[in-house]
Parts: sequence; structure tokens; C-alpha cells
Amino acid sequence: MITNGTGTWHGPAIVAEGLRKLYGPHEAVKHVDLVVQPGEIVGFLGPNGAGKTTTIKMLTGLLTPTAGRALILGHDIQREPVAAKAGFGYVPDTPNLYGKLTGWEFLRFIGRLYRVPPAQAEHRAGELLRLFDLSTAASDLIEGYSHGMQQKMALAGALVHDPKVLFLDEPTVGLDPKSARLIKDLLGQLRTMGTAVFFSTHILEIAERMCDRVIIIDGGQIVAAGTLAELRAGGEQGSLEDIFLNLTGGAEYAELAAVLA
Amino acid sequence: MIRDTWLLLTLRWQVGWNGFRNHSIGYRLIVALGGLAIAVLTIGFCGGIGYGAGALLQRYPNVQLDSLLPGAILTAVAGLLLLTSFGSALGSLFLSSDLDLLMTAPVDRRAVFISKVLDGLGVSYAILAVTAVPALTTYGLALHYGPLYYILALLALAGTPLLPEGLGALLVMLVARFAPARRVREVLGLFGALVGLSCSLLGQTSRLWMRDLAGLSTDLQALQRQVEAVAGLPIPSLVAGRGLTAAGRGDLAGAVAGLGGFALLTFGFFALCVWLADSLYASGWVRMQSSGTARRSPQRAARAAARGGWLGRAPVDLALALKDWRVIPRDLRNFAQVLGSLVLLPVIYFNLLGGGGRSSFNAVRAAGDWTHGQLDPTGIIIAIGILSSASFLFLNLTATAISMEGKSWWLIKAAPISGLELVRGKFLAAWIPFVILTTGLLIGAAIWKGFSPLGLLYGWFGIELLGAGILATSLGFGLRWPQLTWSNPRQMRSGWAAFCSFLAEAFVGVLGGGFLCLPVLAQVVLPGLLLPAWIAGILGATAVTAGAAWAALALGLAHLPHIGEA
Repeated sequence: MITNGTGTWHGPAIVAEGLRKLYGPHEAVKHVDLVVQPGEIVGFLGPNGAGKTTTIKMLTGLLTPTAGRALILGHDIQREPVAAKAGFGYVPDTPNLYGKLTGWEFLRFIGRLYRVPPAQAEHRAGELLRLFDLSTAASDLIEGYSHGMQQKMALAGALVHDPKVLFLDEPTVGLDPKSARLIKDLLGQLRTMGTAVFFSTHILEIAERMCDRVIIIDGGQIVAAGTLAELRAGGEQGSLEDIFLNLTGGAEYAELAAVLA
Repeated sequence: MIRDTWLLLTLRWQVGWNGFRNHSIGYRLIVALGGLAIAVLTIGFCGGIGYGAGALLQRYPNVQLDSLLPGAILTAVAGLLLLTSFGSALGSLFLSSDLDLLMTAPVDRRAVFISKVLDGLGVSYAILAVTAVPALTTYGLALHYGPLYYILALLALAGTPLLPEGLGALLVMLVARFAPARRVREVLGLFGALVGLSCSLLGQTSRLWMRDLAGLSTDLQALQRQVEAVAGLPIPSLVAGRGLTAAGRGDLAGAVAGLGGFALLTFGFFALCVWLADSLYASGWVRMQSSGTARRSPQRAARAAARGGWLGRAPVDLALALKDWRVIPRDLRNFAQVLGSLVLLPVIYFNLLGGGGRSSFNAVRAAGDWTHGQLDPTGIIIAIGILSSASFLFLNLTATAISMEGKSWWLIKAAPISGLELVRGKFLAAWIPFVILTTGLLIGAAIWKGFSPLGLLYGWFGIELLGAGILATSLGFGLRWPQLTWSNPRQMRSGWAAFCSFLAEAFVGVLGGGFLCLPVLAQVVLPGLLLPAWIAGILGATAVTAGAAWAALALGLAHLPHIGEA
């Protein structure tokens, strides 16, 4: 049970029904259905160009689906965008932030966009900056930050309003081991607070250790979904990496690599 | 090294050609026709200058400027090329996205440098083709020069871009040792905009300084001595100019000496510049890779953290405006592009109050005794001047309001704000400074000209109403045709947005302004209908403004969900 901006919401945090995206004749995403419950961490896996980012962008309202719909805390992202967007935080794969704002200014601005009361936003921003080890750099312009620092600043921005749903697109890319560990710990903490986390990653070890469920997408359609145990029960054997490669057709690459050696 | 240089050059050309080929046929056609139109206009202008100069020398042979003119043409173009080559060298040598790949590839590092420098030569030759070529050709035609002049002119033109390219690269190396390349590019953008505005400013104030020049006595002999002193300077382009003049007169020895000296100086300096710049490039590149941003001390950081400011407390729409007011002045290129025309405002304003506007006021007054009523018709011209110059200034903010977000647009699109809140925020970012500026200017004009309180109030109402309408319509068109993928702020304005904004400005300004003039007309022509004229004027102007703004904003808001989806 969580609040969704217009009252108490008892249903799933994220729902996608028949999501489809066409770019001209190319069908990037083909009829994707998925459900994520509150407090659940779901890993969204797939090879390059499988449709992960397109799906996440449709779920967050950054792309209009050709067909289907996405619901965040019961709100249709296309029909009730303001209510739906108030409930989630999003970190894209490339965090293009306002380079000419300082870290503090950026977080204060995000706080206003998400209508966080000023005192609360100030307190929360200070906590997040300390957590991500950005307190000293927070008075400098973001354009001077390294890629990893910008990634952490984007994550801090996504958490300022204490979202009930979090979308992360490749969150650990460019992060040092300490920061990557911090994100893993943070995801665990968010799960205990009832936040639903939907994230894409290529690091299967993180997905295996962190996720309650994984969804594997290939060629624009979901080819497997469930817990690791469920995937194994379905006939797939071995580690998540083995299952992933069997499903997405990468297992034969070992033979190709042997030819190159 | 030559093989590597050729490989890298062909790669650059392939990338450029692919970029052009991947656009739609319509875009390619517009670019080709636009480029052709600009080229034809420039060729016509420069050809006209060359022919005019030659014809004047033909008519007044005692004015012996022919030793200077070809050199002056080449020097002016070389100066222009130096400016462009500095900017392009900065971009290609330090800011290009392929540098990481090239500097770690097993190709000669010098080949990377040389290919980047030579790549800029194409643009330089294109500039030469539309400026110096027509000017020197028509100059020779006007003076009936023989074929030797044209052959040597071609050789001089072929060598002219080398020195500016080499100097530009060397200057970039030197500047990049002391300042971050991105900051240099911002300063260069601001400098470029200010040069353009200064030229415009000189044109605006020409009457003032031409009056001063008219008082100077003309000593032709002294002028002749100065010309000869300048023409004798050992600047490569002036040396080439002397050779061309000798060629035109049929003096073969003088022509060969001039062009030979030019070739020696140009190639010598070019080789020296390239050698120096190349030796500085590697260290400059490494320095740029390792340079970070200076961090503030913990005390200063803590003080900055404690300053919450309005950005942390304002409502959503005002927060959007506050964000823009912080971001724009911090990017000098953006600032110059958006608000650079502010420099022109004082000139236009003082011209309106006491200079160029006076003759217009007299013409209005001559039409009859207009100043009996409460509304002084001379105020109309001042109001039009203030409205058009202030809206011209702030249109840059509204027309690029969405484009300005660039690659950070996802932050706005993923945020829980409605289209109306976004529009309000972007509108306020331009309209609040517009109101402050126009109110100040109008009050100043009212004190200076002694307008009645009613006239001042009515003028203020008219300016703010029409200004709001003009800004809102251009914001609507900016929403409909945004350009998010810009790397240079000049690319933020789309052609369609600019064209429709211009039409909307004309429509709101002329029709809305026409309605607002009704009471002024009525007080002279039909005093009995003054009250209906007041009502019709205010209602008509409000309806025109609101209608235009609503139509444009509705068009823009309908497109809002699709922005950034391409």
C-alpha cells in the first residue's frame, strides 16, 4: 500500500500492456507486457539494440508508444502524465544535466519541479550529496564533474522527491567500485522501503545478486521473465549468464572467440 | 606521415558527405539554394566593391592608391580567415569528439595535427572564392589589366589562406595553454557576436562620426605618404598586392619579385607556425586531458550550500525562469546569442528620443495640430521604437526557450509538470525582464518628452500588451519547431520558428498597434467618437494579441508530447 499522488494505491507499481514502438518500418519494441510490484527489484536484461532503453523511455513517458499503455502507480503515463511522473524517479544511460548549474542549484531546481517542500528538499539534497560523496563538489558547476560524478548527481536528482518507483538505465556504467557498491546497497534499502526498482544492466552478476526477478528482452520482445529459480524450472540451466546467452543466442560466441585466438 | 594525413582527410570528407547525404532531399535543397543565394550576394557585393574601387582609380589617376588596393583586399580577407581559422582550429584540435580515437590509434600524431589544419583550408578557399576572387577580378577588369595580373592573382589567392591557418593553429595552442578550450570557445563566440554588433553600431552612429570627419582638412600629399608607408609593410598579403599591381602595369620583374616575396614569406611563416604549433599540440592535449575544474574550499562550499535562494523556494513556473536566468549568462556563447543585441538598445533609444526620430516627429506634427488632446502622437513613434527593439531582444529568449534545454530536455519531460506550467515558466523568463526594461525606457522617455500621465499609462499598456502577445506567439512557434540537438547556440533557432515568429510579430504589431492608435486618431479627426474609439482600441488590440498568442501556443502545446522523440 503506497500513496500515488491522488490517494492510496494498492495495485502494482508499474504495468505495461501491449507496448509497441515503430520507427518507420522498424519495430523496436513488439507487444511488451510486464508488471512490477511495490518493493520489487526487477532487472531488465537484453543484448545491445534489444529494445531496453526504448521500453524504459515509453514507461517514463519520454517516448509515445505506437500502441499499448504504461501505468505508474495506477496512472496512465500518456493520459495522466503529471500524476504518473510525480511518482517515479529516472536516471538515463547518459545523464545530460544542466552543465551551467551547480550541484546544489540542480537539486534545488529538481526539488521545485517535483514540488518537494523547500525545507524538506534542502534536507534531502544535503543527505544525498553526503551519501554520494558530492558535498564538496556541490558548489561547482556540473560541467566540471567527471562522468561518474554526473551519474551520481543524476541519481541524487532522481531520489530528491523520495519516489515510489525508480527507473535506472545502466546505472553502474562509469561508476567506481565504491559507488557501484553504494548503488547496490541503496537498491536494497529502497526495496525495504517499498520502492519498486526497474533497471537495465549488462552486468549479470548485479542482476543475479540484486534482483527479485529478471525480464530478458531480445529483438523487441520479452523472451523470459521470472525469478532465477523460475527460469531454471522452465528448462534453462546454469548461471544467469548461461541462461541469458542461451536465450539471446550468444552461447556460440565462445566458438567464434576460439577461432580468433 | 603523408599516407596517414591523406587517410584522415578522406575520412573527414566521408563523414561530412554522409552527414549531408543522410538529410532529406528538402533539407539538402534548402541548404544548397541558401548557400547559393548567400554566395551570389557576397560575390555581387565584393565584385561591386572591386569594380567600384578600380573605376574610381581610373577616373582619378592622381589618387595613387593602386599600389595599396589589391594588397588591402588580400589583407582584409586574410584577417577574416584568421578569425574563422582560430575558431575552427580550436574546435578540430581540442574539442572534436574523434580525438580520443585518433590520438590512441597507431597513426603519426603529426598526421592528426596536419589533417586537422588542412581540413580547415576547404572553408578558407570557399570564403576566398566568394570574396577576394570577385573583388580582385572586377578590380582588374575596371583597370583593364592584362592576363598576367589574373594568373598571378590566382597564385596569390592559392597561398593566402596558408598563413591565417598556421597562425590560427598557433594562437589556439598558445591560448589553450592558459585557458580551458571550452571557455575559449565561449569567449570566442561572445567576441564574434560583439564584432557583428559593433559593425551594426558603427552603422547606426555613422552620422555622428561622419560629422566629425567632415571637419578634417584633407592633405592629399600626407595621405599619399601614409598610403605608401602602409603599402611598403612586409606583410605577405601586401607584398603580394604590390606584385599584382606591378603585373597589372606590365612590370614583369616587379610582379615576380612581389609574388616571389609573398610565396617565401607565406610558406616560411606557415611552416614555422605549423612546426611550433605541432610541438605545442601534444603537451597541450595532455594538459587538457588531465585538467580538472578548480574546487572550492570547504568553507566556500558550505556558504554556497547555505544560500538556498529563490530557486529552492519558487513555484514551478518561476523556478523554470530562475533556472534559465542562471544558465544563460554562464554560457557566454549562449548569452551573446540571446541577449547580445542589448548593446544596440541605447543607440536606438537615444536616436528615438533626440536623434534620428526628430525628423519623424516633425512630419507627424506637420500633418496637423495633434497635441491638443491627452495623447501625444509623437509618443506613438517612441512606443513603437521601444516595443520593437525590446521585443526583438527578448524574442531570442522565447523562440529558443525549448531548444535551449538541448540534451537536458529529458529532465523537463520526465518531470511532473504540465504543458501550461512549462509555457508559463518559459514565458516569464522573457516577459519579466521585458516589462522591467520597457517600463524603465518608457518612464525615461515620458520624463524627457513630457508626456501626460494618461499618455504614459496608455503607452505602457500598449507596449506590455503587444509585447506579451509577440513573446507568447514566438514561444508557441519555438515549442512547435524546437532544435534540441545543437552544439553551437546559433543552431538553436529553426528556420520555421524564426519565419513564423517574424510574421506573428508583424501581425500583432501592425494590427494590434493599429487598434491602439484609434483613440489618438479620434481625438483629432472625430472627437465625438473618442469614447467608442477608446473601447474599440483596447478591446481590438487585446483580441488580436490574445488570438495570435492562443493560436501559436495551442500549436506548440499540441506538439509538446512529441518533442525529443526523433
